[in-house]
Amino acid sequence: MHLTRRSLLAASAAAAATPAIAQGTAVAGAPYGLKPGKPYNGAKLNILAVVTPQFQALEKRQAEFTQLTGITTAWDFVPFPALQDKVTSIGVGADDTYDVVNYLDGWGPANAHWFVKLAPLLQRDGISMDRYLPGFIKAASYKGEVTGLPMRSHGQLFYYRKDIFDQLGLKAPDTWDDVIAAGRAIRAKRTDIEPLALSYHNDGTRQSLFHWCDFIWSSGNQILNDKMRPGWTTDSAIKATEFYVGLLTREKVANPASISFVEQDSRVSFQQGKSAMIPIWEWAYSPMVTPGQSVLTAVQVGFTKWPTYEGRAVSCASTLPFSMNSFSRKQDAAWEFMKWLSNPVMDKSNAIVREIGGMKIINNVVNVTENFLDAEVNAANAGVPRACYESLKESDTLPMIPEWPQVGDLLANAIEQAAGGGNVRTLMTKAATEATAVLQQAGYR
Amino acid sequence: MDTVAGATTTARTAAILAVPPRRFVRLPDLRDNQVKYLLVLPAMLVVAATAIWPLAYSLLLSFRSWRLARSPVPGPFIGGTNYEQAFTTSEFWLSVGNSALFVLLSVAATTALALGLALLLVRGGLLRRSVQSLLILPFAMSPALVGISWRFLFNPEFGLFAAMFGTLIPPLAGINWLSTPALAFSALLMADVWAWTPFMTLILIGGLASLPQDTIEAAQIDGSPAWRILFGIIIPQLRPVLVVVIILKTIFALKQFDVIFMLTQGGPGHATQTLVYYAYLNGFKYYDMGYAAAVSWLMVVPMLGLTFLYIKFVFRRAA
Repeated sequence: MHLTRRSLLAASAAAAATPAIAQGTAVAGAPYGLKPGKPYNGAKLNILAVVTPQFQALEKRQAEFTQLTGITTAWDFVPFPALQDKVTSIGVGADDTYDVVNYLDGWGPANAHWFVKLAPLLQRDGISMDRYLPGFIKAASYKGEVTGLPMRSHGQLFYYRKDIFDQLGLKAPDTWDDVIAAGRAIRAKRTDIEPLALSYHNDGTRQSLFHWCDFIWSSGNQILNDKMRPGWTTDSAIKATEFYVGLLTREKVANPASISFVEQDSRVSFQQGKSAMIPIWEWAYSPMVTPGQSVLTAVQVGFTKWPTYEGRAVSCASTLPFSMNSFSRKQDAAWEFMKWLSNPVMDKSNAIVREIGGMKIINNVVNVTENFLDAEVNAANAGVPRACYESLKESDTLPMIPEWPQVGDLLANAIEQAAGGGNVRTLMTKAATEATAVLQQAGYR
Repeated sequence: MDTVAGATTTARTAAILAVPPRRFVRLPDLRDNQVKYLLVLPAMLVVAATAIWPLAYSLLLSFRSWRLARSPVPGPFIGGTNYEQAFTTSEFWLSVGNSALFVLLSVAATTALALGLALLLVRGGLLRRSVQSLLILPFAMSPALVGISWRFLFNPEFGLFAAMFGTLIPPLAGINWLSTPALAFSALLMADVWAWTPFMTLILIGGLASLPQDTIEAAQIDGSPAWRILFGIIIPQLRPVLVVVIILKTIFALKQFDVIFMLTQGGPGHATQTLVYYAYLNGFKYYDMGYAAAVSWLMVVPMLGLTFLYIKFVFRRAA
């Protein structure tokens, strides 16, 4: 019998799942803490989720959920830039079309009033949030109450072109000064490729802040201080911002196109062999080594932990949780779905099985802490999850307040203008003044 | 046989005569006021539910405080505070300025280009036949698709324009169109003008085709130069159609959203943030529904004025 890597992975996933299913079945009559007896048989749930192979793979696994519960699901996939609008429109209209919604953590507080509070359900069914890393718990909560389950959870890694680094005798950067040095070497010796892909453009999703905040935190500052006032105008914070913007304007190691790049553009630039380094989320590894999406192969893509700034590396943790819509009339069935969707066995299986329902899917995202460290998960994903875990050890989340989108936009616009040649201190001070007005108006006295 | 047949015929005739005359339903008098209102009622109800009610509700909302991030239902009435906030916010005035500039440049460029194309194509022949159907394409495209296509075209690494301008106009080589305020604004204008010029061209071709030819021919026989015929005869006679084109384009430019959303997202900074985009940001990104409603209503005022002008102009012409 010929054993392929894929069949081995599938077999190990099944083997991993079997004891859990058996255990669940023995204890409660249904696995994953699902209610026995299919009490919601015939219910149909509508799910709103961002477009990603990870969730498309989960959709492909729905047959198992239907078999266990009798509940069917219909998924609507929305591109990330449009997701916030879609989620907001549900809140505005008190709309019960979707029973379960997926959103970026930073939008959670503004929509928390219509998300079902999950603590009683978690407690009732013996599900502990401790299975997630603290950053993800924080990102899926508002005012200490859990409003969602982390379902697409990320940490940041620094990717580089291993072949080019080897050719030029460079080693993986430990610090941002190393990044600059490597960038200069690449700029001097490889005119066919830009050294570093960044994304300074504010496309309304504020993704450009995910790099900037690391510099602020690593410099010992906070984005909002304890009194809920901007913390980005201290001398060290301004210096950190100048350093970040200076990668493009002063050091000139960033791809000049970075000023109009959003995260996706910079990732595509790396994938198409136009840039040699990129700091980005761990999930980006999959598209970087997927034929058809990238010109690179796994041997060309190296990665390392987040580089230090001023001797410290505090990276960003982020997640796209799934929450239950309190306007939904099928909340019980929706909770069954949430339990099934988020169970650790599924989480692991989704990161190691490469073909589901005839569809090839490469996903290296896991959510549950044990899966970041799982040997099989890491073997299937080149060790990216473990590296991500290391990066997340010292991490933080963007402020979890309802006003963050507005405050974040002020910041993102200021940084974009600074990258265009504006004065960092002037722009950041102006953003702080405007943000203070927003925060005061919101009642933070 | 004949007797039998004759008897049958007689019996049939008698039976027919025995049937009381059919009473036809009297059709209502269509000139009756009540009936005509009844007939348009379904349409009126649909319009009321889908247009008038949302408009009225948003007007009410503009006088209330509603921070969606804090409350799922609208808060108390706060008078004109939302409007006052708009008038005292620099970002609002920046958006007003951007909108005005965008409308001015977009209308001028679209109208001029459309007129030029219409003059070229009105003569007919192979050029018109082949180009006229192609002209429909940009107009038929979804505005969101226009925006995203132009974003690809302007991509500094893979974009067609980056390569084309770099080759044809060397000083423009390596320029990142979407990174500086003036160039991003220009890119937005180019996308908008590209999308709307064909439609306006088709309207103007129709207008030109309906112009009386005798005055033009007389001027040609008299040896008037082409520019004089254009400015002295054609444009004055085309004025009613031009006015319609300008009013329509002004309305479309004022409410332009999709292309901005896909191409520049109002940036860099606030450089391409128009009033529509500003209202959208406040409503759907910052969750301030009351303020977003107020900003939207401030935009409704010029739109209503333009619509009134358009209706008045078109119907006066029709009359």
